[in-house]
Amino acid sequence: MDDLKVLLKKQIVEQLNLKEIKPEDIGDDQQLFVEGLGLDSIDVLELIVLLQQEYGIKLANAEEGPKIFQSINTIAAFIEANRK
Amino acid sequence: MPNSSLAISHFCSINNNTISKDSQLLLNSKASLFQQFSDEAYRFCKVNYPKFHKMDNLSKLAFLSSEFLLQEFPISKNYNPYRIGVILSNKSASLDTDHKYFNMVKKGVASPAVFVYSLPSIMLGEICIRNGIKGENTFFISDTYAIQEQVDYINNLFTSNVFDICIGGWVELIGETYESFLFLVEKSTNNSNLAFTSENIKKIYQDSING
Repeated sequence: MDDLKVLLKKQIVEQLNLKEIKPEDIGDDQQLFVEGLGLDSIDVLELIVLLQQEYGIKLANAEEGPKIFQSINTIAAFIEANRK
Repeated sequence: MPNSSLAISHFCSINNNTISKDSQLLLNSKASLFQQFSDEAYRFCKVNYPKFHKMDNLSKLAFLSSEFLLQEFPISKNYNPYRIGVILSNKSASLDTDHKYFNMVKKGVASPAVFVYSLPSIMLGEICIRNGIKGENTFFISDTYAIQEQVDYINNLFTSNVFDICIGGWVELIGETYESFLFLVEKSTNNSNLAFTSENIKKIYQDSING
């Protein structure tokens, strides 16, 4: 799980062009949207694409998004539970 | 019809790895690619705006041009945000990003972050968001910079009492070829300012692209 979180942080920084943030600066429990990392609605869509491309996971219910993309911990837990 | 009370208060140009404002050279870069040049220009203008890195190249060019044009001039604090206009034009619209998006789709990947820049008017939105501008903004596409038409259009909006100040110009980018020329036009009572006429815009535009 820890390796997955490290990889996720690297993928998020690359996919979302967060040039001024280092992967190691993102806390496992840090809020990713609004105040935390300051991600926006387009970033959510990019994260959905990332899950699909890198982990083969399709988000079936968009309403689950806010819960899944809350933090690195919640995304990692979702991947662990759903990856093929 | 020329509006005699309008003046060009500042202008900024970016081309051939250089940035100039009011005919003064600000940056002459040795970068070989636009990506490197735009990163260097972003660091040079000393702003903290992480969203810059997510923009497509056309919006980066427009954003940088507006940053240098409006440097040390908080336009929406000095003017009513609803009476600040942005009127820009170019030749290739958003074709640079359209190509990028098309090639991604062919590979079966459609990036939402790339898709949102597949309209040229997005660069107007980036300038407006950054500066808190809420006035009229319009984007025109023409084979060459139609200066007379743009001057007439801006003049008409001032005459119709829509604007107190307006950013106008030309922001073109396709691949590694880019050229940006922005100017700020506002009401003026000072006769020593450069009058807002198509002749003056033509002259400072030609001077800027000829270095």
